[in-house]
Amino acid sequence: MTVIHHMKTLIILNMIIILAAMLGCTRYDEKLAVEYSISKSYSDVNVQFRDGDGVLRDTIIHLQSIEDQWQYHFEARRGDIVYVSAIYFDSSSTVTAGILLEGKLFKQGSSNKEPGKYVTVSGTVPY
Amino acid sequence: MERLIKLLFIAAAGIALLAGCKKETKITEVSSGKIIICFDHRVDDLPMVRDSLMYTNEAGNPYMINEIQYFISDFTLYGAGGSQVVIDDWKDIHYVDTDIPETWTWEVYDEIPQGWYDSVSFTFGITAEKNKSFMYVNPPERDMFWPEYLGGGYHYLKLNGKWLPAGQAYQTRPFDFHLGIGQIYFSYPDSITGYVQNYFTVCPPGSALQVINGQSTKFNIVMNIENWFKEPHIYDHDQWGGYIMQNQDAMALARENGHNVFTLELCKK
Amino acid sequence: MNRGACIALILFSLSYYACAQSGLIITGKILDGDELHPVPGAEIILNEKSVGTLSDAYGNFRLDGLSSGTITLTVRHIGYKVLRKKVELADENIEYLTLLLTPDIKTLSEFVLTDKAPGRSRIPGKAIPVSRMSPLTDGTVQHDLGDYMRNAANISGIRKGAIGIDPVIRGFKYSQLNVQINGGHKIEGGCPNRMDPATSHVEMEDLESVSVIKGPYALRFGPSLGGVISLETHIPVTASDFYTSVHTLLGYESNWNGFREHLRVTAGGRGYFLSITGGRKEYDDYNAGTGDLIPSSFTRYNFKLQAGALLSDHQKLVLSAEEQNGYHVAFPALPMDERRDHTRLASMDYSYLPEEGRIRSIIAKAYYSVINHLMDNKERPSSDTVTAVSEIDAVNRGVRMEASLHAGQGNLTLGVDIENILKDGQRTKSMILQPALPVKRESLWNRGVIVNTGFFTDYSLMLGSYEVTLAARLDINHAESGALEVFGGNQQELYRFGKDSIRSDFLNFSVSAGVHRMLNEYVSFSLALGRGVRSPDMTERFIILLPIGYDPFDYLGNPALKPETNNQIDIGLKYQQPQWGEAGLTCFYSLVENFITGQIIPPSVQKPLSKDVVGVKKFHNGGLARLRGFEMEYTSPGSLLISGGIRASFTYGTIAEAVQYTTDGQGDPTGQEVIANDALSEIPPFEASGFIQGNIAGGKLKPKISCRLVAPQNHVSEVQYEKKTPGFIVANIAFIARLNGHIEINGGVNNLFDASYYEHLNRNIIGSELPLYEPGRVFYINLVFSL
Repeated sequence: MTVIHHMKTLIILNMIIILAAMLGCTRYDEKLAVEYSISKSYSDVNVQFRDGDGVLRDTIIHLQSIEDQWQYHFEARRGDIVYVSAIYFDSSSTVTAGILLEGKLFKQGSSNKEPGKYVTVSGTVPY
Repeated sequence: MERLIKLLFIAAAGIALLAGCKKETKITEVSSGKIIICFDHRVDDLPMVRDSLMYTNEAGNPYMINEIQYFISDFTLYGAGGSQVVIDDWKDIHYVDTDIPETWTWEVYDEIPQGWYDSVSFTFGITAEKNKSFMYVNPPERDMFWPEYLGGGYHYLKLNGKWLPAGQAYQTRPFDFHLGIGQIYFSYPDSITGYVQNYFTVCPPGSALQVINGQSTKFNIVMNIENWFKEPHIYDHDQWGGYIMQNQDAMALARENGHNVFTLELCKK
Repeated sequence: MNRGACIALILFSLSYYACAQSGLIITGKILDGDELHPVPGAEIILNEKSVGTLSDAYGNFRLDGLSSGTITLTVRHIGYKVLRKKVELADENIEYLTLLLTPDIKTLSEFVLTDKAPGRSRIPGKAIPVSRMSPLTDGTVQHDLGDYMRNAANISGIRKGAIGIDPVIRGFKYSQLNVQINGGHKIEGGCPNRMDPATSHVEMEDLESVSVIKGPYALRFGPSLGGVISLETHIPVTASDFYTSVHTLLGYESNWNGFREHLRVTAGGRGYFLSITGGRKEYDDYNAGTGDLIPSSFTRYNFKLQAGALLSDHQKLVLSAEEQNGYHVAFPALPMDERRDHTRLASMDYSYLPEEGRIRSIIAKAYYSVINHLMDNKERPSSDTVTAVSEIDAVNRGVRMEASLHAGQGNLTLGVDIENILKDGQRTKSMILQPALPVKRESLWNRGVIVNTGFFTDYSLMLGSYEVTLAARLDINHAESGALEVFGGNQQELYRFGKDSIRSDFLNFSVSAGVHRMLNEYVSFSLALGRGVRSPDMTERFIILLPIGYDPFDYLGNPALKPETNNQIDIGLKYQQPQWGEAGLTCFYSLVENFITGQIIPPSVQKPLSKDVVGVKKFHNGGLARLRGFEMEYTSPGSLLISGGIRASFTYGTIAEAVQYTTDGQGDPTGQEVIANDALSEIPPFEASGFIQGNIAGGKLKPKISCRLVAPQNHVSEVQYEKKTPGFIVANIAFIARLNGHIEINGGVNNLFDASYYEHLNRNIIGSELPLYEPGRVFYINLVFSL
């Protein structure tokens, strides 16, 4: 009788270990650092961007000089959409918009003396 | 009983092994013909040459054409006695792109009743009811989208080129001569209070067409590019600048100039 | 994590052996003498006394505490002749004693599984053509059921990606096939592109048998047009004494670099059982024979609880609850990948199986399936312009009740089944290249509901030497949905099908008849005739603009579709002789009325809304379709030292009238014509296969070589510009080694010569003209422990 009882305990213990090992969770929930940057502009720039909560925000930025940069930092999950868009109306201006993931350049776009044309840089954080 | 079963089996096996009937095609009777529309683009009666600063418009701007893309829709043929044939059996909106030669020829699917047709007309652009955002998902039509907040739908026309501004010797500026849904601003560039539909109907002058039973009649719809910039309004790039999508005054001018941009000519055999 | 499971398993096995018991032990397996499938619930009695045991669901049994000497084992089971075997016991345990039971030919109906399991509805009559596969005994547990089923005659599958190969039987597919689990549990897949057909919602490791009942004959299983796929999962049994059992599978496949684990723990006794099951699969991309890497990775895990109780000597109740999850499943032939699939299944089964009296059985079942399916294009280049995410909920609820009685000279079965399907889904498109990031939401289904109530009856009797079965079925089918609408920007309507014209109701009547006769001791003849009607499914009625077919068209549902009817005849001849083996030939001819197919809609009426799609097709009843073909099979007796078999199958399908468009250079049509007897699309070509198997050391080692020859498919649909497929040959080697009654190792090499090939039914990779190639060489090994 005790032999059978011993066996049952072993079975249950092993079952729990194996099942627990099997029902592992995925590693896809991690968050990554995202940075939007607007730079290299001679004039005011209308910027639209998708923030960390998935809300589309509007802002007008004033860059002090050609070396100046506007940045926005937040955390995004894999699979989230990242989006930044810039437009200027000065006929001799330029702009460069970029998205960085964990410090590395993900996407970039620019325009040169094209007032009224949107520069849109966007994508999905890769899995 | 056994013989019957054997017969059944042989019959069944025979059916199973039979390869089936041969294919046949049926030919339906016609008392109608087809039309083929060719789109041609000219400046001053000569075929358009792209990317070359060789033209001057009525306002005196030297200019070049890079590409032209546009939609026409509701193509209608008018017969004797008031009959009308509207082209919409397959495609009702046709896209023309000077970069894509396949779009320069439209072999119309519709069967056109045979006979004489005095004139044709079409909508330049897309009417309000049909011009719906996101209805095109694939290039090239998809890339004609007109931004939602500016009115949505699709561009009627993209005529892209470069002009030499007054006082410049060689430094050209790009112009986007675009037509689409216009906006009315309370204060530019925000607060849009209304939208304006800028499509218009074109009745190109030209000779009558004959559609013959079982044959295809080919004709050209010619865009005379210089006419966009001259009548009734002289259009000056120096005045309007390179970007007019948010300038309803400029687009209204373009719309009115459009009345005599197109002509129809039959193809010589 | 995999290593952890391995170590735990080894520890457990060692601990088992540490708990040795006194006395000698006999372990063995009870198998059906003809088909070599296990016989569960067989009584193995010792020395004519009432001491003994029952074989488990895998046919395994164990007798402990024996003394040396000669003993007699008596084995009994319904449907078989009683077996008596003398066994000499010396000083050692006897391991892996195989006992073969001879079927008793006088039995009327075919059993899908035996009586001791909870009531499983039997196939009425031997005239109905059935293919039966037992993945757990033939040692070829694969990771996808659709892939496994392709081994059977005239069964093929549509591959769109990693898993979820969609079965095609004699040219019939999708809702033309009635897929059900354990006698009636139905699942409505979530994905409109059929990433998850019903067959993909069963874990292979759990699957005891797959019965493919061809034709519109077995009407008691539901409206069946082309056939029924009856899946039987493992359900534990009660036993005369308390028992515990553990069954584990660890598997690995090279090329995919795929790992698989499965564990089942069961405890049971007199009048009850409880079982917990869990499993996990994690696979990477595979290389085709061409050397190309095909995106095909996936992760799946599942968990199941089953409990049963004997309410009385002859009444049993079984409850089952299961959860399945899929993550990041790649589908290169579809515009999206499966991001997450969450499925929950629950069922309750009651059975009453008296041993005498007028009533033969009463069985009842209630089931509930819920699927939440999430898919997107985020890992595709198309997501650089528009990011699309689709989420669908599919709920399937139903009940089934059946009573079988002795009536007159035969058996009468009556029953009712009710199925309620609800489907709702939405696609969200973010135009990430446009100013102000416009987001568009489109309904894929708008609360579509289909309710089908069916009344069925069948009667089987012997008329002289003929076994005759008659069956009939009445289906009351009701469907409705919210309005089918698509909106563009600024809420402009791009498509609308009004609410009032969306309801449809059908009354469908199906009949079938079968005759079976033994012409002599070895030869039997069968003839089956049937007329089966099926109502259009959720997709055919209500889908809103999605490229669900193999061609690049957006499909539109048509709520006004009429039901499809299949009139079919099957004729079969079988020769069965114990020393010689078994040979069979079945021929079929099928005439389908109101065949449901797609009809091109001009862009002036509706433009496509999916990327890379060339146009729109609306479902319509396309007239008459004809399918005909045969299956031919020979297998030598399995108990010989060397055995083998060959098989050939063929299907030929045509549609009476199809409209073809003539096109210009741009792909736009310039005219149309009607083509007669165009080929039906997606019909697999002629195929022949053969195998040679060895039976070494009393069945402990079974090596096998098999080869499959597939002819080119040149009979393709002209109207749909279907492409021809070249023929190919694939060779496989495999082995099953049963070390003792507890450990089995099976393995082998699939596609031994690394052939680069694709099946005719494999879809093309999205955005290219290239088909999805099958995997190249795959080494696989599975370790199965059962205790």
